[in-house]
Amino acid sequence: MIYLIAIGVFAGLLLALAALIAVAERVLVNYGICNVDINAGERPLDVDGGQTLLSALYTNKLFIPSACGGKGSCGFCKVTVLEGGGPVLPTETPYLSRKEVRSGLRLACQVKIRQNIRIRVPDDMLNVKMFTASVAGTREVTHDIKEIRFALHDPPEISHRPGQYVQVQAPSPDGPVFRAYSISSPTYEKNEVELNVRLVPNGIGSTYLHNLKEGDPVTFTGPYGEFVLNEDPAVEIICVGGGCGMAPMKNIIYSLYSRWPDRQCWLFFGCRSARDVFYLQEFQALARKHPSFHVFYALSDPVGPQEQWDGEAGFIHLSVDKHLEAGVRRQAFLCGPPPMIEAVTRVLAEKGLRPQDIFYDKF
Amino acid sequence: MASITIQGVLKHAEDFERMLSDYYAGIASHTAREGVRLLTDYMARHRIRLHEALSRLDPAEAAHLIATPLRFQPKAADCTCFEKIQLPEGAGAAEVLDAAVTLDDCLILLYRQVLVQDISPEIRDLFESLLRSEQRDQMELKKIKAMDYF
Repeated sequence: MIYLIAIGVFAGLLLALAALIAVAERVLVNYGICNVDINAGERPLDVDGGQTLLSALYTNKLFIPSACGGKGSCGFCKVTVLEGGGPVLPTETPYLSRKEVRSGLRLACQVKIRQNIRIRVPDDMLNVKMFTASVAGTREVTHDIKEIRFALHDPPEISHRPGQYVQVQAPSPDGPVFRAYSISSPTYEKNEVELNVRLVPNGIGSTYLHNLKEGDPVTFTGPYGEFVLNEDPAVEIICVGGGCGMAPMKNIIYSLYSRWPDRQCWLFFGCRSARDVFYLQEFQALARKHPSFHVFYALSDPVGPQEQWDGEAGFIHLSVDKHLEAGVRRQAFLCGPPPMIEAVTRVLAEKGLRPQDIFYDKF
Repeated sequence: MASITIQGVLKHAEDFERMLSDYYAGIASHTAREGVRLLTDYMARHRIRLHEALSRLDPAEAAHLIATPLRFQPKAADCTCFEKIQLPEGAGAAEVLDAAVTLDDCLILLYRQVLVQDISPEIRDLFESLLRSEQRDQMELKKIKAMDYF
């Protein structure tokens, strides 16, 4: 009993001390107004010192991607801090390579503004907006993947590049969190954003999105993502997806054929069984319309006695290896789990693709 | 109470990482399932966090810092972690991923044991960074499992 009391008293003392430090910092340490210089004067901000860089940017409608709500556990909110950021914290180092640390990259959620600070963010990031929208429709495309369409209200239009993503705000017991989802609708659809969402058991974002009904309001920020489609129509486009990594591929392919009807494009999509297959008929119809489009779906599990399947068998990197000839100018976009990305990247390198021609979205 | 230096703890963790790497490589070479082979081959080649973390220490300070004595007995790398894992013959990717999360817990326990000791800020930074790396790894493993590709 005496030990329990001792532990209780000790824990109480620690809590009181922590509270005292927090109050003292708030009352006694006043950093005043600090200047945040973004991209050498392109967008200067005056903000209250003492808050995190992520929070200050967010308040000023500069939406840096972040999935964990500033807890330092997603590693998404990287910005280059040129001056005034203080030392790199141990909470950041697991998410930053040595090269990134040397170049000044930091996690915005871990950088506290205590003085004037100079940062650099990609120009694209300055155009990211917060959208309010409502659910225009939902459709189950597999047993666990839903296609969800949002009608945009404010702003009423989105301008995005193929392969980009948005961050949907989802409620959670600890406050709102953001979850990243690739846009599956093509770039010419300006008034709607379509997502493919796989239901992850106990997943905050996917559970929220799967429960949405037509007309429900949603908020998201975007578009994000660094993929830039090669504008040279002679360069073939290779899309490789696995699991539920289909959304960016659908966006890229439909956007591409609206601009270049004869451009060579290959889609490789891998999943486990026939019940995981989706959009195959749509892509086959597109391939009939555009003979330069080639579609290969592969199942990695053995085909069951009740299933019908005349597509490829095995993991998707094997199909890529089988169908692509080496030595052709290509750009590739990959989306799937990290081991899949690694296996496909190896095959593409053997086919002659340079690292700078391979973009990927690991999840 | 047994005593060990930071260097001893790091050696412990390094040995455990090597055992993990060998464990996954062993599964990769024996499994008949292509998905499990792909997955464990990847996992075996991505178990090198210590080297990266140690390279962040100031070389001039490193020798002195890692000689810091601690008064505790590390428990992570005494192989009992592996005894907890009983993967059945022909285990699938989900079972392998669950096992990997449990094994990561062993390193997390070790790093937490260090973090409650009286240690210098540099050593605290090092172990907090290692702890975060393992937690990040666990999150990635859980995501791969949820995606159900392998």
